[in-house]
Amino acid sequence: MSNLQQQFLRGQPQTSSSMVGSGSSPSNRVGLGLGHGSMMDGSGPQSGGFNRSQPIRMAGNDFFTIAPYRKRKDAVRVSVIKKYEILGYIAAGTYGKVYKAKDRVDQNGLYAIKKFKTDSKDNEVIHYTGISQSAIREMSLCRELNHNNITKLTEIILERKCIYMVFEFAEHDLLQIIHNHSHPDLKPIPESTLKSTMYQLLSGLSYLHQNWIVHRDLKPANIMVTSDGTIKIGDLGLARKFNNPLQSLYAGDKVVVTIWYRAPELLLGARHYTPAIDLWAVGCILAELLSLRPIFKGEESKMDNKKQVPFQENQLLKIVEILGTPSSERWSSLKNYPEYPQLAKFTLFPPNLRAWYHSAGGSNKNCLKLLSELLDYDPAKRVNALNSLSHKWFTELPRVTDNIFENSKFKYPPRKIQKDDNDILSMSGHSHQQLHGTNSMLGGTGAKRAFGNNANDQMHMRKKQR
Amino acid sequence: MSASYWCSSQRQKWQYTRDQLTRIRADLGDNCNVHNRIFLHSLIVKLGGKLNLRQVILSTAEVFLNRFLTRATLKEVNAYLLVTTCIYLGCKIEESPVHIRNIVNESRNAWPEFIPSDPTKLAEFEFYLIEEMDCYMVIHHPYNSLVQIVQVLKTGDFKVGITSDEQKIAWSIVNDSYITDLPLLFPPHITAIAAVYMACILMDDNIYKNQRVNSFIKFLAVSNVDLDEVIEAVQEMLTLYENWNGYDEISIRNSLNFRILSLNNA
Ligand SMILES: Nc1ncnc2c1ncn2[C@@H]1O[C@H](COP(=O)(O)OP(=O)(O)O)[C@@H](O)[C@H]1O
Ligand SMILES: [Mg+2]
Repeated sequence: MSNLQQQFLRGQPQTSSSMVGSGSSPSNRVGLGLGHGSMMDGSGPQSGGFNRSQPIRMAGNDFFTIAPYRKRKDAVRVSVIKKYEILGYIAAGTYGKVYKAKDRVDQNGLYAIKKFKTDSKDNEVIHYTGISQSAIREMSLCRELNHNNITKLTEIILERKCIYMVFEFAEHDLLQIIHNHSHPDLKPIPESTLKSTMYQLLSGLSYLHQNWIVHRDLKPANIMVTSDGTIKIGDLGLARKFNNPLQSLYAGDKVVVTIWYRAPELLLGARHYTPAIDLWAVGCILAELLSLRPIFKGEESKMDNKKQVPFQENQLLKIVEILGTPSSERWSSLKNYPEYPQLAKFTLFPPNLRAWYHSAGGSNKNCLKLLSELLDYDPAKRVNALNSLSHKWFTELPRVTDNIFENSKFKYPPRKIQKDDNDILSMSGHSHQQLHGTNSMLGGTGAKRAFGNNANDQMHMRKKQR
Repeated sequence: MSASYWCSSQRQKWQYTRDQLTRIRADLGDNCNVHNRIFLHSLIVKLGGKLNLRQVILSTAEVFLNRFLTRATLKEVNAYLLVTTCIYLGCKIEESPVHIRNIVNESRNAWPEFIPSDPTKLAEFEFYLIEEMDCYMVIHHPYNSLVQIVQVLKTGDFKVGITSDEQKIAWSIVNDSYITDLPLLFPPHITAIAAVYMACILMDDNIYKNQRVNSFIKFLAVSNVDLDEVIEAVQEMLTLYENWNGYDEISIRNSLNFRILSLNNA
């Protein structure tokens, strides 16, 4: 630093501040993504103590941290239950519970409050642990986003070691809508609803991608629908920014996307992946809206030990059975994927999507075209979100509507809530968190979360199918 | 939008005018002067170095620190733990999380008298830090603009070649800008332009200087930036370097440590 300072000020060198200031050079980090490097070469004055000749006193656990500040803040904090009347709970998510709530002042305002715990209990003492990476992502990204097809975060309340994310309430979600069309008997979703759903989903996704955010967990349960028929992409807990990735996305979370919606490049062990993984998931969702069951319903191989990510053979097989065995002609980088040798052992299947589409009751050519563009094996050739919006299917009749229910005779029941639990502040009833509790010090990785989610979903579906 | 600064929370929620900042600080009874800020900056650099962190993480952490200090004072918190917490959260936001025990251990190694070994103290502070920032945590930095500006200046229209030494200096000026109020006052590209200007014009005693100045002015005109803001940013940095002259680390450290110890005994 003194170098700089001297140039500007023609001042004398300052030995005492030699450690201060601009240590790094532009060529080796930040924004260039060229990896890690040491921040400083030399280290300056070592200790914060007064006199180094005296033995250093170590701070005890009762050493001053933030007491006066905490006192001031806690005195003025408004409790979540002061602002909201809790109507009941909607779902137990991966990291906590989601509650339905009503604004105490504006009685028309309905909200879904997603609660994250940040503490863990041992011996009846509640501790703070670090906030999970997933909660940090969801908070920080939702705070920046503003689009009609993304669930709107209205506020975040931090209280008693818990985080309460307050979202606008959505009466339905795609999982529930699909369920309603498949139980007790199959009733296809009207084309107008189907097309408008897809258009709005892709609009929201296009906004995310334009903002350099990959969602990484698109599936019917995470796509909300409001009572006035607007699609809202939810659950940004696995989402992250991909501009200027300072490390490959793989390094952060080795497993992303619930297995049935996981793109083939992920199944083949891709180290670098792109927003195209979200478009694959959208393709799976389109297929599911058409046939009312998951198109690639594979069995997940569980992680055997902590380090090794298992090859998802069954899932890839389900895909190959319908789309046919991929070839290097269709997918030029195919042979470079780590798990390619595994795929090469499969028997060969011919492409079968057209037949699948007709057997699922599909008849529109352009819809099939979009489906096959979304389910393109090669992530580089897969249609992107922005371009998909001008797809022929969206420009031909019936036209896309703002209210996906506009031309539909179907009615969907309101979201079920459990009225017996409206004690949002309570520390109990967090079985899911306890399950993931060991990981919370690390901030929770996507891997655990993705598996957890999937297990949840399968349970969810099984219950519903009964 | 998180990709674009213009729709960001940084612009909409965390950008102030100088008058606003002055008023906020008067109301707070703030006594964190520039020498304290230089000292806190040195703490960030030190812990960042020990943890081998990338520059952008430290810059994000320092913006958190700046934001926090518009709403609380050093009389209320342990400054060493504050710096540690800002870095801990900065790592998460920049997608390079470090284990809470790791950072507490490193921080305690650096400042054993002031950092308790219990990681839940850090976790608690993280919670309050996030709350104080209203959960706005995505930060836009000048580094990308810096790279772009250097590229644009190179092109045929301007033909201002910038040497790698000059780029390094500009980069260092940006790093130092986090000590000042610039991240709270101006868009990141203003800081980037100010840094390039300082590195290639102010420090240039080359005979072609005039030609470079003219090209740079032409660049400012076509890039449609607020010239007053650039001038103010340059001034802010010059003032920082001037103040750095009178900086006596030992006395600043001693008085800060003395305050923390007296708060501990209070
Ligand atoms: N805005 C909302 N309105 C109504 N229900 C919601 C809303 N957000 C989430 N939910 C319900 O809560 C469930 C879990 O929420 P989600 O954000 O997906 O958390 P998780 O990360 O635990 O999967 C969703 O599947 C949905 O049923
Ligand atoms: Mg979910």
